[in-house]
Amino acid sequence: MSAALVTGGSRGIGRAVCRKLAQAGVGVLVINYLENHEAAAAAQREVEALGAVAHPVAANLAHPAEIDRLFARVSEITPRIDVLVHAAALGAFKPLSDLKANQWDLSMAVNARSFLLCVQRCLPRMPEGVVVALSSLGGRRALPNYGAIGASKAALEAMIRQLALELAPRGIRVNGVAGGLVETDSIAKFPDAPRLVQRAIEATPAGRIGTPDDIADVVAFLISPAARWIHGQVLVADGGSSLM
Amino acid sequence: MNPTLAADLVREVVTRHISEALLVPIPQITPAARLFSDLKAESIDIVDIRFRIEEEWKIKIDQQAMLESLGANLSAEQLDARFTVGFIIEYVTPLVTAARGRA
Repeated sequence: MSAALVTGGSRGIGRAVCRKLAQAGVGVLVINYLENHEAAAAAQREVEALGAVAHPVAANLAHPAEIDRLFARVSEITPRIDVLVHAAALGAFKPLSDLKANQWDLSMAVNARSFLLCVQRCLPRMPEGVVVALSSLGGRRALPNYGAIGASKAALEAMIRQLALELAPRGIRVNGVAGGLVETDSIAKFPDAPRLVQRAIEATPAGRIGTPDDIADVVAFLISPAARWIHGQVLVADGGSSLM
Repeated sequence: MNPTLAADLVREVVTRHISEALLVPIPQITPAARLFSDLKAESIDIVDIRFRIEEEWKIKIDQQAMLESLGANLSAEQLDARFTVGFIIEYVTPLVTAARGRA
């Protein structure tokens, strides 16, 4: 029976990933979340209804000490981790030209540094396995008010390639998924969110913005044996919005 | 912990974290200073300051509950006026005292 850890797993894309993993036969799911206990409990119920055993574990990934505490708890739950999905994300939605140092630091800490620290802490528990990190189009394209998060996602994508290189000989595949605008709570944090959504729909050949399941399905593919020859790639899943 | 000592310690630590997060000199971070209009904090800064305080004391601060404790149905101006450094110190002190009592 395989075990997975999903950071940021209580809401949005992370929660959809938890469902997909349970459907794919993952037996034990550690659902990391920041602080929304109700959302974590709901995610746990969803996963357990699909036959997996879920363990919500609160930890603020901005702090390395909390990541250590997360993995101490993981060790109590499962001796090995077969799948790590990094979906936790946080950041300042504002122009880079107005960004403050602490806002940069927070975005980088949660979106990029915590990925590295989680991978490092997984390694002793992952004799072989799969790592998938959630990036976004902002990691490679300029998007309004997305500079801090975009930079952190670019760092994330660089780490995906480097870690894939380092870990492939150990039987660990590392990949990522970059979505366009996805229907989650985070959209409301953008300035002028309704206009942003309307413009995204108009710019997407598929005629809508993404759903968490759209992205989670790609994550499920990357975790599956069908993706066994894919290493260090970031698959774009955006309804074609980046084509134009 | 003695409540007075706790309040003094919390004031010192909260002031330091606000200063480090917002890059504002400590003398400007008075109890009456308003986070938004005086210290130019933004919503992401409040999250950052909260994270720093939580990590310092190993406590959890429910940000929504904290802001709701300022009063119901506040206008933006009322929220700004009430959300001061002194308010944060008052809100955090009992949490720290309780955490220290458990330790």
